[in-house]
Amino acid sequence: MRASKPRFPWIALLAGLILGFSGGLYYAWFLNPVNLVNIAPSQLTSADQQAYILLISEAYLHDGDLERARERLATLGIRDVAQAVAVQADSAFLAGADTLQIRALTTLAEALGAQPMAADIFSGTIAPTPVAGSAIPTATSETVPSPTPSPSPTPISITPTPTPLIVVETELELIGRNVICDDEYPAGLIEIYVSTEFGRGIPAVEVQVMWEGGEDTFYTGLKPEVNPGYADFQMEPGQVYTVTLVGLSEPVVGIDSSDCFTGSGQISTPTYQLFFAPPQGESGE
Amino acid sequence: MIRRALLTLLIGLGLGALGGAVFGWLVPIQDVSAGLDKLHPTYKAEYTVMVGAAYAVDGDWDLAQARLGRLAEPDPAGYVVLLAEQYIASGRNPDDIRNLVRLAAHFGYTTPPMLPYLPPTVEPGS
Repeated sequence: MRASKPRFPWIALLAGLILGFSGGLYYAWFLNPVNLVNIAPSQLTSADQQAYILLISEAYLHDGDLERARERLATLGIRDVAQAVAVQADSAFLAGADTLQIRALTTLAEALGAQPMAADIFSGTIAPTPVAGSAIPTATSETVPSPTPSPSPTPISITPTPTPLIVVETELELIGRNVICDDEYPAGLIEIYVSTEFGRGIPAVEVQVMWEGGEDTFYTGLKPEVNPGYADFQMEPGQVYTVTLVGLSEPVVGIDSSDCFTGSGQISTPTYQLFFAPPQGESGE
Repeated sequence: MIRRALLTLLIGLGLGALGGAVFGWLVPIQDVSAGLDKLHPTYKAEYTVMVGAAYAVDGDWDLAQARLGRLAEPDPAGYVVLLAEQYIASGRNPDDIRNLVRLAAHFGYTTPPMLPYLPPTVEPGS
C-alpha cells in the first residue's frame, strides 16, 4: 500500500492572499496614503489650480506675454486651457469677484480665443500695467457707494448682451433709497447698486424696470468703473416706474419721474438711487 | 499537515499584504493632489514670480502676502530675497527680477545686487 502524498493547502494560501491583500489595501489607502512632494502644477488640488490660473492671468495682465502665459498654463495639464480660463472668468464674474481678477481672467481667456461672459466689458483692455515705484499699495474701491456720490463721468454706451443668469441664491432687499434733484447731477436716472452684505458689488443681476405701457430688462456690472454691481436706466419724464431684481427682490414701486426743482430753482427730473443687499444676517457671499 | 497549512497561510498573508499595499499606492482611492506648498522648487519660484507680477498690477500687499503664505515657506521674506538674488545671479528676465525685488523691498529687505532693480521711488526697507 502506497502512502498518499499530502495535497498542497491551496485553501490556506488563497485565504492568506485575500486577507493579506485586504490588509495591504487598508494600509495603503487609509493608514499610510500617498503623500506627494515636489509636484507639478498639474497635480495641484482643483482650488489651487484655480489660484494658479488666476496668477497666470494677472501676470499676463502685467507683461502681456501670451506665449509665456500659454507655457505656464501648459504645466497644469489641462486639455482645453482657453475654456478652463473662460469658465473661471465666468465664475468670477457671476460671483462678483474683484474687478481686477475678472478683468485678468477675461482678458487672458479672450487672448486664448475663448469668449467669456464679461468679454463685452473688458474686451481689449490688455495693457501691461507695471506700477514701478508704487510700493505703497493703492486702495481699491469696493465699498458701497455713499449716499451722495459725486457725479459719474459721461455715460458709456455698452450694449448689454449678457447671458440671463441669476448670480446669487440669496434674497435681496432694498436697504437704501435716495432721490437727487441737482443741477450738477445727471437727471432722470434710476441708479441701481447691488452688493453683498460686505459691500462688494454683484454683477450680472437681472433688473426689470416696468412702467405703464412698457418694460425693460438689463443687468448690473456693465459699468464696472462705477461699481461691479451698478446699473442704470434713463427715465422719461412724467412716468411712474417699478424696479425689480428678477427673482431676488420685491418690486420697488412708486419711482416717479415727475418734475422736481433743483437748488437753483430749475425744473429737472429726479434721479433715484436704489441700494440692494441681502437682509441683515443673511450671507451674500 | 496543519503546520504546513499554517505556513502556507502566513506566506499568503505576507504576499497578499505586499501586493495590496503596492496596489493601493499605485491606485489610490482618493484623488491624488496636493497644495501649493508641495510644489517642486522650480514651480514655487515661478509661482513667486507671478505673485510679484500680480502685486505690480494690483498693489495689494495683503493679497501678495497671503499668496506667498500658501507656499508654507518658514521665512517668506527670506525666501523671496534668496530667490531674487538667485535670479539676479543667473541673469534671468529683468522684469521677473524687478517683480521679485519689489516684493523683497516691501518685506523690508534690499541687498546691493537688488539696487539696480529697485523702482525709483521705493525706499529701501519701506
